[in-house]
This record gives sequence, C-alpha cells and structure tokens, in this order.
Amino acid sequence: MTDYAAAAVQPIVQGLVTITGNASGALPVFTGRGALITGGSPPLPTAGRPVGFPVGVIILTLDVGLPGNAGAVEPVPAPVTFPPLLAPQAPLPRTLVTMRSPTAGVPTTLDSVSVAYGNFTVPPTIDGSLTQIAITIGPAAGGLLDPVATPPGPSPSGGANGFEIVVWAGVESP
Amino acid sequence: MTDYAAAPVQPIVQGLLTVRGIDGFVLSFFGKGIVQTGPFVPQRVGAGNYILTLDPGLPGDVAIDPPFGRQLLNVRALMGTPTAVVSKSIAYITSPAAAAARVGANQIQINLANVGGTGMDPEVGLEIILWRADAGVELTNLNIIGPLFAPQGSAVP
Repeated sequence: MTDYAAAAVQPIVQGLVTITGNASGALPVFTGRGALITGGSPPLPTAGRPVGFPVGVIILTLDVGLPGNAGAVEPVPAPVTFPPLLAPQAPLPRTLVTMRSPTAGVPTTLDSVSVAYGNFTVPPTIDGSLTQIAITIGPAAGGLLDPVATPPGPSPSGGANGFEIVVWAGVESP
Repeated sequence: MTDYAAAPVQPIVQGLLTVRGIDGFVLSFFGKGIVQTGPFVPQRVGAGNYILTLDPGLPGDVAIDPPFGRQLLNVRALMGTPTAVVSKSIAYITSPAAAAARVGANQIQINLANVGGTGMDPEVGLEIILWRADAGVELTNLNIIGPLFAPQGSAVP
C-alpha cells in the first residue's frame, strides 16, 4: 500500500474507559492497551481518583512498557526554539475521545470534552516530558460529569456509557 | 503488519492550532500539511473561525475531493475545567486564487462555538487531523494481489 501520510497514525493508546458500576465518582476502568488508570503508583484514593480531582476528570498514565510508548510525550518541539513560549506545550500528541451512548437509542449529553497533557499526579520528570493525559468531561451547559448514564437506572436519558480513547503521536512519517 | 483496512487512515494534515492574544490574535499551526508561510498562512476570520490552506508540497495534499474528506478535531483545555467549545465543524472550500484550476477544495474552514452558538477559540489549542477516505487499494484490484488460493468470485466454487 502506498503510504503518503504526512504524519502516520500509529496509536500508542487505544482503549475504553468506563466507570465501575456506571456510578458517578466510582473507580474508572481502562480496558485496552497503552495506558494505566491512575490509582496504581503511587497509591491513589479509594474512590479511584487522585485527591482533589472531581468527577468528570479522568487521568490516564502512559504505559512505559510498550514500543513507541515510552511513557511520555515531548513537552515542546525539538529543538527548542527561542523564545520557548512561542512553542505550544506537547505539540505532538493527538487524541480522539468518543462518547458511548448511555444506552441504545439515547444520545449522549456530554458534549464538552477536552484533553490536557501533563504530570498531574506524578512528580515532574527530569527531562520535562509529560506522562499523563487528563480528559475533562461535562455537559454543554457547563460543569463536570463522569461518563455514566443519567439518571441511574434502566432508562437513562443522558450521560454516557464510558468513552473510547485513541492516542497517537502526530510525528512525521519516515 | 497485516493491512486489512477498507480505507486506510493516512493523514494529509496533522497538527496543533493555537490562538494567542498577546497583541491581537495570532493563529499558529504546528504540524504537517498546512501552508504556514506566504499569503495563505492560517487565517483567523473571527472567534473560532479559521481558514487553513492545504500544503501543495506534500504527496496527496494538493487538494481534496470534499466527499472523501475525513477530519478529527480535538479541543485542548485546562485540566479540570470543561471546555466551552461544544460545537466543532469543518467545511471544505476552494480559495479564490485556486478556483480557476478547479482542483478540488484546497482549503478547510473550521468553526468552533459554545452552547449558545457563539464562535469561540479553544482554551488551549485544537488538534487537527485530516485524511482522505478514498485512499488505499481499490477493491477491484484486491484479487490480483490477494491470497493465491482465495475465492476469486462467482466462477470459483
């Protein structure tokens, strides 16, 4: 197959994030490859979220054990330009987040979805690289909500049933 | 690697768009596939309204046939603060300068808006990926290069 991609898509993370028991505030669960839900090391709260992190904020830590996924993304372009402020933070990673419907036939109401890259629950790295991805979710009207079906029960009218996530490095193809 | 994609994803654009307001609004694109110098630099028409020109210097990136355009827009915002950008859309357009050539859409126009429909810039940045969905091996050619003993159509039991 001819490859003319300006920058290839070779995911370093692909998975599904759900909330245990579909209950807001409960432990997030990652099913897939390339990421760890925070809660492993260092030990994080019994609720499954770092202290101080509300519902609607889920943090994934990159898996250091995978090829092409050394557990971090570059903080700034290399070589660093001057003044460095002209370069955006984390120029390379690309992330796709797609909500799953709360139940069949019901649209999600979680329309505010954004990502941020950083070291949110871990110490800064020596080289400044960023090891975590924060996904912030809420309804269009504002506020934060976990990707769970609302109201709880068999006939939800909104929310979501987890989300699919894909992360890759948008670097130039060889 | 085994390739079974019906239509592969080979982006012609990948990058990060940022808007900075130190002295006016400066639209910057960091990545591949968008013209970044000359008269067709990324243009901020208004809040959340940008025109980007495809880079003619890249293979497969002179222009795109709009029905085959596929895009992904992802908002970057501050961790813990929900983004107000809840409407994201794209249009494939042709710049006036290129209209005579009729090569297809050589520009894309992005519109971001809040829940009220008012255009707004992303809080931190916007990740952009654009690819064409008609790339790859044509199905009519698959039999030629496919497995030697694979069924070749109705003539093969």
